[in-house]
Amino acid sequence: MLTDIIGTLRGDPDFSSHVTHWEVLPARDGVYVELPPEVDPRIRGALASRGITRIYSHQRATWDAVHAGKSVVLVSPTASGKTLAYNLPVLQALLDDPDARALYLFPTKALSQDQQSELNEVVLGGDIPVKVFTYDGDTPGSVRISARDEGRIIITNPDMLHTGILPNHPKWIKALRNLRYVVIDEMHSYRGVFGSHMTSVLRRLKRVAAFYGATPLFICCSATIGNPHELAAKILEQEVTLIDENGAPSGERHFVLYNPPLVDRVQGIRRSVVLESQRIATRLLKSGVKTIVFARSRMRTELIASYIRDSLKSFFTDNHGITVQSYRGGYLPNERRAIEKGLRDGSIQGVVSTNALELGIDIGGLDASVLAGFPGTISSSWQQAGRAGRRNTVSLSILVASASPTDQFVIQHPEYFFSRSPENGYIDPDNVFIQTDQLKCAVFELPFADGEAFGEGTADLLEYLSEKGVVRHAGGKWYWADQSYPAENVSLRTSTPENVVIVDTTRGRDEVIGEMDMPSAKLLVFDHAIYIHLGDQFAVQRLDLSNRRCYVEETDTDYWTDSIVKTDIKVLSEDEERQVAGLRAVLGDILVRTQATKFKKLKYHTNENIGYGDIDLPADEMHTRSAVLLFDAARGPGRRFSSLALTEQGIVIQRLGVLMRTVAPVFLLCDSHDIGVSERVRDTHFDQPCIFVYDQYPGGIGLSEGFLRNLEGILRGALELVSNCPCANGCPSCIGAPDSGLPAGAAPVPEPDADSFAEHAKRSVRDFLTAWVESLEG
Amino acid sequence: MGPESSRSGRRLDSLRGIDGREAARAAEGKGPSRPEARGTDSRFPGWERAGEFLYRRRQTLAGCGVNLWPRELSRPAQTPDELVFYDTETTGLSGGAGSEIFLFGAAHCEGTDLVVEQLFLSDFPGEPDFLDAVRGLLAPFTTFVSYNGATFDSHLLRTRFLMNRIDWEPGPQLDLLHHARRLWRPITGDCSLHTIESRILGLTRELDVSGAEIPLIWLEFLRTGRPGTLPVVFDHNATDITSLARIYALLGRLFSGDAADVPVDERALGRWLVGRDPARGVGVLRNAFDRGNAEAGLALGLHHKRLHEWDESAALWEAVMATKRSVAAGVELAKHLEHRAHDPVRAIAVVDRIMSWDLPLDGETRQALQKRRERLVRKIDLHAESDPADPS
Repeated sequence: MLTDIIGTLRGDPDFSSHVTHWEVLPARDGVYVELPPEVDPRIRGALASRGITRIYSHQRATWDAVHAGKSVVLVSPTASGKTLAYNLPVLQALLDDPDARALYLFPTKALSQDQQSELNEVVLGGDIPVKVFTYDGDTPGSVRISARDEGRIIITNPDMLHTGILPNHPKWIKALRNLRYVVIDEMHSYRGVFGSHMTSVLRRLKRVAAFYGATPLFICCSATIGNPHELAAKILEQEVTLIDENGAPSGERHFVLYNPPLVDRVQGIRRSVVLESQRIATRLLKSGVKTIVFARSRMRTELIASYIRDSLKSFFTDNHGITVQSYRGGYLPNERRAIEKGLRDGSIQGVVSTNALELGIDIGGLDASVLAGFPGTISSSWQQAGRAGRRNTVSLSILVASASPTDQFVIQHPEYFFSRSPENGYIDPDNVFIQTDQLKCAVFELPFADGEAFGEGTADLLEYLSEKGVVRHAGGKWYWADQSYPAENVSLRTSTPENVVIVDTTRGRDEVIGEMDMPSAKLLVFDHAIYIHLGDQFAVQRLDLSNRRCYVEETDTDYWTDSIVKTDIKVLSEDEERQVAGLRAVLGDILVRTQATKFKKLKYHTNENIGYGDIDLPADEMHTRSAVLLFDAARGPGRRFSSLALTEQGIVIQRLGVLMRTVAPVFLLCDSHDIGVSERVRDTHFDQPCIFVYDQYPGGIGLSEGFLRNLEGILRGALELVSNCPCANGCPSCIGAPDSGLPAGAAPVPEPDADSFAEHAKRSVRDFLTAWVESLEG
Repeated sequence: MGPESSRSGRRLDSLRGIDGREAARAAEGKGPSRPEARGTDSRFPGWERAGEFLYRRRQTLAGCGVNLWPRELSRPAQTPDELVFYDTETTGLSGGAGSEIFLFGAAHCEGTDLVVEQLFLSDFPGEPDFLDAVRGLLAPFTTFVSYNGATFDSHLLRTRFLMNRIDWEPGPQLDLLHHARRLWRPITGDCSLHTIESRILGLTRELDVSGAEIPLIWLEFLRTGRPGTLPVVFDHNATDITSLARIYALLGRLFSGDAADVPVDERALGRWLVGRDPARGVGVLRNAFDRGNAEAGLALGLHHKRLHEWDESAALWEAVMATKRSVAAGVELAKHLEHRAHDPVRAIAVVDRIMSWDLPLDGETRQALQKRRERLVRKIDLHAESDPADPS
């Protein structure tokens, strides 16, 4: 069926003339092996009842490594049977030893629940006497005690391990004393600051387990990233066996890059990614193809889903018998479960989702995926595309480009997309701020003996904590000497856990229909905003920030709302000045303010602007640390900079910012979203051109300082990147795709030769960097 | 200076920087000094040194013993001598592995006297010695009396012993908080030990500290080596334990009926007693009901129902309904008539009577009543259709 449609699409000039590349990845046969002979008959029975009598080679390789006493990282694309790969050795161990326990860690609660139902199916369906409990913030008090005492498999997340389990380890003695396996799924999510915290949380887990005499093995699973082995070894701080073969069969996959047609050739305006994705998805759905659409924001998710439903409605009264749902974070758990189930059992044929469905939530097999816009990374693109395709059947993925320069670059340079390896994950567990916070939690859990290590320079840090009076050194040990509970004040993630609940008050109702994190709520559910939930429209009556509630009422409008966001930076203090790489650099505190002050009303389908409104909400303020590079016209690189034409200055400084955002994470061992970069052709505070590089964490975690220390290396790395990049005039991997826009403060009116500067952006940046790097050698 | 040490110095500098970029604070005192391991310490008059970081104090309070002892509450103790009253003071209030016990107090009866013994830990390394002493102090006793010890102190003790790898489990717990809640919550609202002390025992404390301050006082002592207000904490702990014994004695008097002067809600007392001394409990509830306390009648009815004394309970439901528009009594009576007396006609009459009161019922109750009525109507219809000779 899908094969016919692929043929039709190929032959349809209306579609194929906008295709920039059509890649066909051939089908691959599965590599099957026998179940290991030691597998318990009860597990065999449970598997046989689900039709499994042989396993894939990578599942067997995992089993063998684990049985040889090795920790493992398994690289597993979507739908390759990774769950069985770790469940098999774990269940076997739990059956062999009635006291043995296992801990499963998932990055989100949604994934935990999914895993619990999957395990229940195996365990309950197959008469395997192993109790499985999910232990997270939603677990009721009465179940918690049974989970601790009776759970043979505990499913939880790193945050709960950090604040709930480890600080109360004596309550978990039964589980910890017999802890044999720790499963870490979606390991690729533990990168940057989150991953650095994760390493420390695992140090604490190993420490506490060792106190009770246990040394667990770790089984990690990762999506395809550039450096899974290295990342696993850094997170676990021990030797890990890499298993990156994949014995699962896969059908032929068609990957199509599609650029929406130009509607205005003069101005270069294309059809919108939202409408075009909707058109393509509708066409697939009407032909009976089960389709998933990935959108880049919550609002786009709801819009595309609504548009698809609208266009189905206009054809036949019964919508072709096709049900299409939207899916995103913020829905109630039972709504999400219902959609996942509908996708598995086939009662829902189409789904439009944010990247929430990119992770391993089980939604069964779909035939086609439509990526409404480049997801930002190669790794995410393959994950999302992988949501379509069952074993042995043909699948189709279509990447629909948006108008953004990055998307336009990707769509016009297929070789970039198909040849580039997925991004690397970096972590820095010995980031002194993270390590110190985590060390406090560790001392709380068990006193440290003199000489005991917890990452780099532990003794110095303990001494420091003792100066601060929270740790006490006595009798050769370091004790927690403060009345607080340190884990409570240490968050593993950037986002604050505070949520706004959305309450439907239509006709006197008082019903919670969803939730949203605080910063997003200010941008999406301000007073008079239109909030779309599972396709239903609601008008926001009042956003009550102090009580974390947003009151909405059903409505029926022909527009949606979009806030206009302003971000500005205020310098609070200049604490330190350094000469770095020939520049004057300032290290200080800044306030990053993000505020929505106005919103637009946009007509459905046409995106016509039909009105404005004011938003009266306090700004989101983050007080953090920043390094500021000042391009002083009097000397060094600043003088060279000032000699450029104004437009060229704008291009060069903006592209330098892009490069720093790309290269700095490699040196700082963080993720690109852990730092912020903002370039100014003329900054009002410093009164000269400058680049701000700041920590995206309130209070700062040392990334700005690290940036200055590593600046020379970062500049050399940037030059190397630009020089070696095969692209003609900039691409998302180096200075950014052409036409990335000009920074704040750049010349408002384009100079006559602006276009020619833009055409030579890459050369301008390379020349500027070359001179700068050469000046360092002197 | 090698590269290693300069890197670690830089790491620390950046940490200190974020603390407000002030110079590292010089360490304040040198912590507790270490006088002789035996004998006395001038900082703690009245205390005896029992180890490098361990102090002990023993006080005898004449006339504070327990004369009327509520044996039914006190199992497994066979005599009052087997009871120990205990309380702990800790370094943190949020629990978790990093909260430690620095002060442990226990009291037991010797005739009419109450003997209060306290153990004080003056620094962390002394914890194993301290716990060993706690274990010794508790060893002679079978029953552990506390205020909130069943959920807090006993768990904390277990945690501390576990973390120090000392084999010990707390014995059976008698948590007076549970009893205080049942007896006095209708009068006092909250049931903190201090509320019970002032409202029920009529005691006032002159010099005291709040629970939240206690960890800070000990931690401050660790930093400076000066006792500060620690003596107040010591006395706070001793007073808590003495109050425990008093509350326990009061329970004994309430049990034996020798407590006319004790403020207590009669229904609460009756309900508390029926589970332990049914004859007295029934008497208390009956008296209260006779004097017009409908709630007491309801409680008595439920007591009879639990004992399957259906007629007694039914009579009470009717009596309660006669004095008060009690939906609970009405529902119980309707249940009785439907399932025990098999009299759906009278049961419907009761349901209709409840409806006729036109009270603002919550949705669930209203729905349940309607369902019951529908079912009863069906039963009557069925009954009318079936052969009267067939008892089914």
